Amino acid sequence: MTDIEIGERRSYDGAICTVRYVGEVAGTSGSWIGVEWDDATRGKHDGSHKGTRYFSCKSKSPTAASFVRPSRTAEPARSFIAALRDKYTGDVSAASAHIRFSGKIAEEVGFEKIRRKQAELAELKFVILDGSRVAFPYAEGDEPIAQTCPKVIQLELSRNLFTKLGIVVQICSELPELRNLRLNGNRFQRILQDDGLENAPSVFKDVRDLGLEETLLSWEELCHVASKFPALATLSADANQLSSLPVTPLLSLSSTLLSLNLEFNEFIAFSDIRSLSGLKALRNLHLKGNNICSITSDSSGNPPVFPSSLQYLDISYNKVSSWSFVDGLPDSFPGLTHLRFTHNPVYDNPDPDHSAQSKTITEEAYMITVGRLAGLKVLNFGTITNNDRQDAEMFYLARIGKHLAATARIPKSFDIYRVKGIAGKLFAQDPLSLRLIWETGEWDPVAGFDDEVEDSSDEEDLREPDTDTPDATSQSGKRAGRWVKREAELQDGPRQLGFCVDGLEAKVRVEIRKDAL
Amino acid sequence: MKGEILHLHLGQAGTQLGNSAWELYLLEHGLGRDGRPDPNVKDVVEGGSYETFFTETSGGKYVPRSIFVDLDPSPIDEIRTGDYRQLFHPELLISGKEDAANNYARGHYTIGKEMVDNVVDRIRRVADNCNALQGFLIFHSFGGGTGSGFGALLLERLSTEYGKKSKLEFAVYPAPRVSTAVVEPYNAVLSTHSTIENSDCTFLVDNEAVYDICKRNLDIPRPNYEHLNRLIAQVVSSITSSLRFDGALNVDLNEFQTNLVPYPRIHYPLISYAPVVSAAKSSHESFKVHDLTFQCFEPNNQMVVCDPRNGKYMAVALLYRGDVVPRDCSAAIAALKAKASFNLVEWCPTGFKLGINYQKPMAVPTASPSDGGLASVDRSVSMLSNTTAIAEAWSRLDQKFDLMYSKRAFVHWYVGEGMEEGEFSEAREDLAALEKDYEEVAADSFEPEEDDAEY
Repeated sequence: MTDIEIGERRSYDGAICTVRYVGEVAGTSGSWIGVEWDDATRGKHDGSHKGTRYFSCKSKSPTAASFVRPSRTAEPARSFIAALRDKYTGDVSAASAHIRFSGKIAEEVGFEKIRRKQAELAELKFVILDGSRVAFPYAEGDEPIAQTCPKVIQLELSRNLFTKLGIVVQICSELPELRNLRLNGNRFQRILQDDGLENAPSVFKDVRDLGLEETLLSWEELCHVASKFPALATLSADANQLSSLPVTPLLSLSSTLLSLNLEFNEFIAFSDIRSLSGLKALRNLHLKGNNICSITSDSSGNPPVFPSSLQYLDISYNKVSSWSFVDGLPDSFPGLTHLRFTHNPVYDNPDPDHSAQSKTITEEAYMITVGRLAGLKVLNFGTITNNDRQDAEMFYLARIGKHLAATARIPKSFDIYRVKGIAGKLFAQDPLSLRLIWETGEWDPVAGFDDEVEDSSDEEDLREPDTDTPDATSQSGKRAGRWVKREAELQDGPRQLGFCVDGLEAKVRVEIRKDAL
Repeated sequence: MKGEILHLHLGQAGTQLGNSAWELYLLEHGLGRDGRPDPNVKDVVEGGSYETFFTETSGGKYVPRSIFVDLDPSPIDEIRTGDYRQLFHPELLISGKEDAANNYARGHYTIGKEMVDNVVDRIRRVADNCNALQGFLIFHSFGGGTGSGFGALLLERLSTEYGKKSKLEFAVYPAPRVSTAVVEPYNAVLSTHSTIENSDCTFLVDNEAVYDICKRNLDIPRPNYEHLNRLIAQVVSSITSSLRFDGALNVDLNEFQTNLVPYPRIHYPLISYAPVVSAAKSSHESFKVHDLTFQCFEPNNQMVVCDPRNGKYMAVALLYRGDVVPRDCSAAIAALKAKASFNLVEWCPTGFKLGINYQKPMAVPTASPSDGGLASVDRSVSMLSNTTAIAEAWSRLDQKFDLMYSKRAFVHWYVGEGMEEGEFSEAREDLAALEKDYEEVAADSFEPEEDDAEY
């Protein structure tokens, strides 16, 4: 078996692989073929065996490769025409005609008619030949594609045995009506050097949808291919192990591309796809199933800004774990109106401090997301009505209140008015009708600190006035005997909080002004 | 061409469902929102036979052969002002002035009665314009006032005037847990009782099952009625596709009944549909015929909550659609045979049918790309099966009915509209009889022995 070439595509029992190595393997006799399986979980190793590396794989999976004996028979590659004929005009095996369920024959009504209809290849508009071991357009004696199935609009050639994209171009050059081409799960080689692509722009001039999922191409290669499609509107490049998109010439894509799928790649931040901001017409961006956890990961810290044409963003099944990420979305996506955001850590557990019943969690996350994104019109496929928005914003504000009440950190530099404003919002009161009283935790007439300080709250605390304070006073009052707690009211004014209150932590009681009642 | 079919959309649920269904029909036939052929999609879509569902005007416009009726004006007004206002014939949009207030008696007796003559008259006019009317498709809910009451009334009239024509229903069945009106069980039981003799075949759709499918399979955390209706529309479309496009199975309405209805009263087939994938697509591989076939037998893909493993199948029809070659189909069935264990009743000589329709399923492209419609898929399967397990749904309904009726709760609303209390117990008895019927049908067959599956 000397005719096996590196890079050849083979199919064993329906599993497709690429030949990466031909030769001997230490510790064994005879020659082997080292192959990388398309299904990265099928193999046993990653090209190294017992410490020796024989070849490396495109896939990053540790189990993408195997060695097989050259004598093992691979299923023969086929021509496009042969595969087409086999699928649409092939005979039904006789055995299947007698399937019985509990003694009753499964009747196939009108299959003969359908078969006759499908056998008219010249009328076919949708051709789906995935996993059909297609490697070349013609075998000897095949009639031209242009005469066999000239009306094809949608062609799927996923998971086949092509090695060069040029072959696909050759097939498509005979299909003038083609609008939709799917080439998922193929392993095209040396794309950038492929001279079969030269006349591709004229061949693909009407193709609007292109699928290049699971092809393990780099972003440069993907763009190189995609830019051969002058009218391309939708590009799917899911599951291509992309971890960042370098700047590449986008050419015609920048004005035609409306929708881009980059699902199940390896991005960790929006800054990894910064180069997409050159797509001026882009409307939909699908980033489902990545590892995105932040807006920007590079040191400059500048968030990437995408064109305002971008309306729809899918970041479900990512690793977003903080709400500040959501807050940053409008800056990076100024045109964002549609968002899909389920199955992120933060969405599944929106508020760790207030863990609610699992049933209401999605509601909570929904409310908080809507509350934080003012421009959003549709979240997770559901239209946000005015009522929804109002509810969500109320909920969100109330939740802020709850949080502040529990652990608020008000900078010292805030002036008293501002502090009152916050307090007013929390308790839904007119800020100026409130009195802020600083409980110093000190005791008169004894000056300075004493051991009671430990008892006072460690956290800076803003609490509801009615329940808490009298209690605390009465307790400490007992122990402190005749001593009186020293308190000071914070007067309205532009003075900074830091001047009015000592220390980093202070307990401030909020009361409603008597005269306001 | 087998003759025309008239759609009747009754009540709010029926009307909204009708909107979604016609939206999809238009797309599948390559028609624009005004009913004119859309030049942009001409090369993609094969028009199929328009005549069954549309009337062609001399101006080249296709007008849906459908009548919308609601006692409450607002749902119909929405159509009159909505995107499809140019599509429907204005005389065939009929709205009342006073709604049925979720009350079967109002829909059936007091208010409905005033309206029914008008509606029957319009139906007559449409029917007169047909060459050979095949029958009616009636969309309504069992829970609402118009849907249950008026629906039953209209069916009674139809069966006296069009006794020989097929009458198929798509009925939204009260969901087991969620409900909009407390009296839904009353309406459903009363309506079932008065339609059971007049309808030939009723496809039940349970809002909760559809809601769950939306949540689970489409990953829509908060589905609304539009999502539900779009999904149901897909199912309706796949069932009716054989009436509209070249296919083999069930090319006319009669055949539906012949295949699926062994006894006149046992005419409630269960629908399953696969694949349900959201428009923002979630799968990398196109679904294999084999996978789709198996999905159909999973309770998760059913339109009514019940467990077919507890029952027996009387008839199963698998309607494949899109890029499906007979060979794949047969292979899938062979695999199913090897794996699945399901019981078919013994007394029925046939009962398992497969059909392929070459017409590709269509997704609804909405103004916004993210509006969770179904994804455009290459192939789909809908399964219609008459199974005794659906009796579960009836007994659930009866239980809820009994709970309220044992205390005569809410009955006064019905009596106040001139209904006799006797009709309640009569209806309830009829439903009990239906449950019994299912039991008998299931019991008729002897338990198959281990090796009995083949001979």
